[in-house]
Amino acid sequence: MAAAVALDNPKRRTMAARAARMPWLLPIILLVCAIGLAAIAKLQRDIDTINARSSRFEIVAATPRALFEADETRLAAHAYFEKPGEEAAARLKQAFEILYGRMNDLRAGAHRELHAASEVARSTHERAMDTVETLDSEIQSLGLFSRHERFDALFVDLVHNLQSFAAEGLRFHAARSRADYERVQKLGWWQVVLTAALLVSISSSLLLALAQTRRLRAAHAAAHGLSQKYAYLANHDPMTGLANRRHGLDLVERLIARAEAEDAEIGVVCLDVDRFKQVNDTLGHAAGDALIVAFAERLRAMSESWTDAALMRLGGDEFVLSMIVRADGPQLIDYAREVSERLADAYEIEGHVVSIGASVGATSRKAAGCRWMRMLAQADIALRHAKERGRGQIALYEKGMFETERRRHRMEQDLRFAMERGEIELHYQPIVALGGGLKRVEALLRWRHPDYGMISPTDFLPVAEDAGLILEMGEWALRAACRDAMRLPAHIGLSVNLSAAQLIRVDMAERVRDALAQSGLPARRLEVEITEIAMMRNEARVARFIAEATASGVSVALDDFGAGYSSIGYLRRFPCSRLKIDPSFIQDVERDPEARAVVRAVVSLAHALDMSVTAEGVETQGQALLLAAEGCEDAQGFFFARPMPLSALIDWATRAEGQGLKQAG
Amino acid sequence: MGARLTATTTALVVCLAMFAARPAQAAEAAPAGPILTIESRLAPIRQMTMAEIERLPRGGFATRTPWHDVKTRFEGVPLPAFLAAIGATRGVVTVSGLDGYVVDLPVEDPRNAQAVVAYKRDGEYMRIRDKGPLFIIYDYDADPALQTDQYYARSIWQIRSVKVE
Repeated sequence: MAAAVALDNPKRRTMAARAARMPWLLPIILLVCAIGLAAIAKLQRDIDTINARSSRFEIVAATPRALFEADETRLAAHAYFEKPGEEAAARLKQAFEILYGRMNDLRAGAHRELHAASEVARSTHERAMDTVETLDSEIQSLGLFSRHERFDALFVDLVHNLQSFAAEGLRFHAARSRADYERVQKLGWWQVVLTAALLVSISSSLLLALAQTRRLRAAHAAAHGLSQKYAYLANHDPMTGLANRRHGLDLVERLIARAEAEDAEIGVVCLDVDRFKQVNDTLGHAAGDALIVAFAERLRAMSESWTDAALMRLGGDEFVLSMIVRADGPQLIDYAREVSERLADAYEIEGHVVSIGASVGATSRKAAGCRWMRMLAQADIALRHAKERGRGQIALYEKGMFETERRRHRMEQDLRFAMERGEIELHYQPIVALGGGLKRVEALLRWRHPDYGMISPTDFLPVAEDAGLILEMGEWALRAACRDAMRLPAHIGLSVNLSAAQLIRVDMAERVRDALAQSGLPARRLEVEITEIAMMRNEARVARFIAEATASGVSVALDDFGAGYSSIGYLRRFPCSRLKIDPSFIQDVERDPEARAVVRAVVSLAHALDMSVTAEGVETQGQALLLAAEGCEDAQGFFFARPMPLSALIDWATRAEGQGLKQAG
Repeated sequence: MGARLTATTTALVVCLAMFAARPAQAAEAAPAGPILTIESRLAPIRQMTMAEIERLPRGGFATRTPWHDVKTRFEGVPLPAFLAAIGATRGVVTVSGLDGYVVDLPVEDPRNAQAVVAYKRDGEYMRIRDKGPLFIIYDYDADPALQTDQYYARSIWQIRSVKVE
C-alpha cells in the first residue's frame, strides 16, 4: 500500500519550516506593522500641521500693508497741510488709526515668533512704534503740522524702520519656510522608509503564513498517510492483505447499492479449504499459512477478473466472495464452479506439491431488499452441505437446507437434554444364523424426540458428534447394553457400535473392560463394531484397541463394509473376527448379478482371512436364501426382525425359540 | 497727555498707558454717527449707527485669537442674527474693511452660529486702532475647525460696509 507522505523538497522546506516553527514571529510582525502604520499617520499629521500653519502669510503680507498705510497717512497729512479742515482732519485720523492698528498687528499672532527669533525685528519694530507713538500725540492734537520738515522726517524714519522690519520678516519667513520644507521632506522621507518597512513586514508575514500553511499541509498529508495506513490495517487481514469482515461489509454494501441500481442479483460464495487441518498438522503451521496466502492470491486474481466482486477473509480458512449476478452474465453456479476449479489446482508450498481443494457453498437473490448477513448464513449452510457430500463439492443454497439446518440446530439443542430426560433408548435388532437360530443382538440407539418422534441414529449421531455429545452417549450405550444383555439367555451375544470419537480415546479398551465388569457380562458375549471410516481416523490407536480388545476376549467386527473405501488393506491390518456387508450391496443382490458377484467375492475374501460374514439389511426371503447360498454365515434385517426395545426382544426371543426361526431354507 | 515728551520716555509712556490709560479707555464712547454701510441689490443703500446695531440680538464669548496675547472677551451681534437683520438669506455677503480688506461670507455656513459681529472687547467699544468699531470674531477655542486660515481670513476687522447679493 502506498502510504505516500507528501514531503516537499527538503532544501525549500528548511527555511520555511524554521520560520514556521516560531509561532511568536507572526504576531510580532503584525505588531510592528500596526506601530509603523501609526507612525506614518503621525508623520502625516505633522506634515499637515506644518503645511496648515495659519496666518503665516501675514508675516509677508502685513508689513507691506503697514508701509502702504504709512504712506496713506502721510498723503492724508499732506492733504490736511494744504487744505486744513474738519473732513481732512477726520481722514487723517482714520488713516492713522488704521496704521496704528497695523503696527500692533506686527507684534501679534505669527509675528510673535519673528520677534522672539530676531533682535533686528524687535528693535526696528520698537523704533517704528516709538515714531508712531510720537505721530499719535501730534495727530491727536494736530499740533505738528506747522513743521512739515519734522513730520516728514518722522515718516522717513518710520518707513526706514518698517522696511528693515519687512526685510527681516522676509528673511525669517524664507528661513522658516526652508526649515519647514526640510522638515516636511524629512518627515516625508521617514514616511517612505516606514511605508517600505511596512510593505516588507506585510509581505514577510504573508510569506510566513504561506510557510505555515505549507507546513500544516505537509503535516496534514503525513497525518493523512498515517491514517490511511491505519485504516488499511484496520480494514485488512494482515496475512493475506484481503479485506477483513469489517471492511468486507463496506465493500459488499457498495456492491449491493450498484446491483440494486441495475436491478441485478447479488451472489454470495462461501468457501472452505478441504482438510486444511491436515495440512497444518502434517506440514506445519508455516506451510498452512503459506497455503492460505496462495489461496488468497488465486481468489484475489479471480475476483479482480470479475467485474463487480468483493472478496474478504473471515478468518482461518474461510473466505467469502460476493458478486453482482446479471441476467446476461455468468450465473451463480458459474462463479461457484470457477472458484472450485481454480482452487483445486495443485499448490507448491515449501517444496511440497499440495493437492487440495475447497468446498463451496453459494446463494444468490435480488439485490433489492436483500439481507447480506442472512445470505452469508445461507451460503454457509450450503457450504456445510457441500462438505458433508465430500471434498471439492459445490452446493447452492436451497430452501430445504435451511429447514434441515434449523432442524439440526434444534436437534443439537434438544440432544443436550435428551440423555437427562431419558429420551435416548436402546433398541436391539436380532442377528440370526442363516442356518437357523438367534445368535446375537445389535444394540442400536434410538431417540424418542417429543416433537419429531423416533429419530434414527443416522440422523442424530452426526449431530451428537458435532455437539461433542458422542462420547457420553457411546459410553452410556455400551454400559446400558451390557446390563441389558444380562437379561438375555447366556448363548445370545451382544454387538455394540463404537464411534470414531470413542476409539480415539487412549483408554477405550479399559472402558470396555470396565463396562463388562460392572454388568457382569462375560467378555466372549460382547462384540464391538467399528466402521472403516473410524479406523481411518486414527489407524494406530484403533489397531492397538483391537489388539487389546481381542486380548481381553472381546471380538471385533468391521462394520458397513462396502460403504466406504472397502480397502482390502484394512482387512489385513485390522484383524477382525467378523465382516458386516453394507446393506447397499444386499439390496440388489437378487436382481443384479454383479452385486451378487461382489458379495461372493467379499465372502470368500473374508473366509480367506478367517472372518465370518454377516449381511445387513436383509429384507426378503430371496435375499436370505441367496446369501446363505453364497456362504454368508449370519444376517440381520427387516425380513427377520426390526430393532425393538429390550422387553419386546425378550418376548420375540422366547417366541422364536418356541416356533423356530424364519429360515432361509 | 498733550505734553511733549522725548523719544526715550515715549516707550515708558506707552507701557504705562497699557495700565494707566485703561481707566481712560473705559470711558471710550460709542462711535457717533453712521458706522456701517449696507448695500443691497433689492434695497436702497442704508447706513447703521452703533445704537442701531446694539439693538440687534446680543451674544458673546471669550476666546484666544491670533491677534491678542491673552484670552479676550468679545460681545456683539451673533452673525446669523446680523445677516438676517441686513436681509441676507442665501449666497454670500461681501464685507469690506477700512484698510481695504474684502472678504466673502457664505450666509448658510452653519459655523456662522459660532461668530459674532463684535463691537465690544472686554466690555469696551473698540477704537479703529483696536480693530473696531466692528470685528467679526469666531469662537476659535470652541472648535478646532475654526482655527484655520479659512475662518481666520473671514475674521475681518474695521468693518466699513456689507454688500448683500
